[in-house]
Amino acid sequence: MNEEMKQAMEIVSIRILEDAAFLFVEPSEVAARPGPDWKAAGAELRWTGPREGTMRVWAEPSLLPVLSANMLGIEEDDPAAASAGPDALREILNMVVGNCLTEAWGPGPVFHLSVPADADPGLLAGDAEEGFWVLAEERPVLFRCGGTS
Amino acid sequence: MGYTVLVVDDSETIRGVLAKAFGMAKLPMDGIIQARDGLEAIEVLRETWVDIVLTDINMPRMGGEELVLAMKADPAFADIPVAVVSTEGSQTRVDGLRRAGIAGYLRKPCRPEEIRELLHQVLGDWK
Repeated sequence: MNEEMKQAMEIVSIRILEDAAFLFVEPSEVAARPGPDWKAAGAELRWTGPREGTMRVWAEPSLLPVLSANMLGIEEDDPAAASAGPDALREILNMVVGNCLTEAWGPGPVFHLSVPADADPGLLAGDAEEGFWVLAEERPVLFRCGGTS
Repeated sequence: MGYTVLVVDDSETIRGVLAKAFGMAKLPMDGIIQARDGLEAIEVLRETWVDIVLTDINMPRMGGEELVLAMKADPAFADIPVAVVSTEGSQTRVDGLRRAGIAGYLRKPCRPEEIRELLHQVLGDWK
């Protein structure tokens, strides 16, 4: 992983979760990370331009309605919060990537971002080894950036 | 009499966030119309008068840049102000959008007061 992007991801991911979804977020100790049987919801976004890469986010499924409820200003048990959860996760990733690219490379370069999509669950195990873990409302969230040339 | 706003974003969450922000900003609103991409937005514009379009950039089918160019090239829509609300941070791209005729730009994540300020900047005094 490119060092500039890695540093940007570690700063920006926490800021976006706090500012856009009003979550309490802290870096995760190794002991607090889930085991290999973790069933996470994931989203992926690719970018092209002067540099190319992919970022994925994985989150505890129970966090998704909290994300969407906080962003929409509704109660967590509102049915709309449950249905909007995956979309909220994809949008958080969109904001993280957009802000990371500027944080890492400045305001000059023009990047083209893909539309965020659900991530392939088969990629979770590899991401868990190398990604950046945080706890959001005491629930694990994993960011992984790769392929940046 | 209030404003009719067209919000163009493929994220239902962001469309909901913006709609909520209009309420929190106490804007005089007649209606908020939502579209999921530029093509849907063009369909709406053909059927309905709107005072302002707020659009994302990165969307399927037709993105925000294409939407801005399509609107500015069509005399029926060219005078409708367009503001971009996006995660994009490239000043090069924003400058290009300004040259294409956008009236304002706001970067996500944004606060309700920033959205109010953007609309005030674009629309002037409230009706």
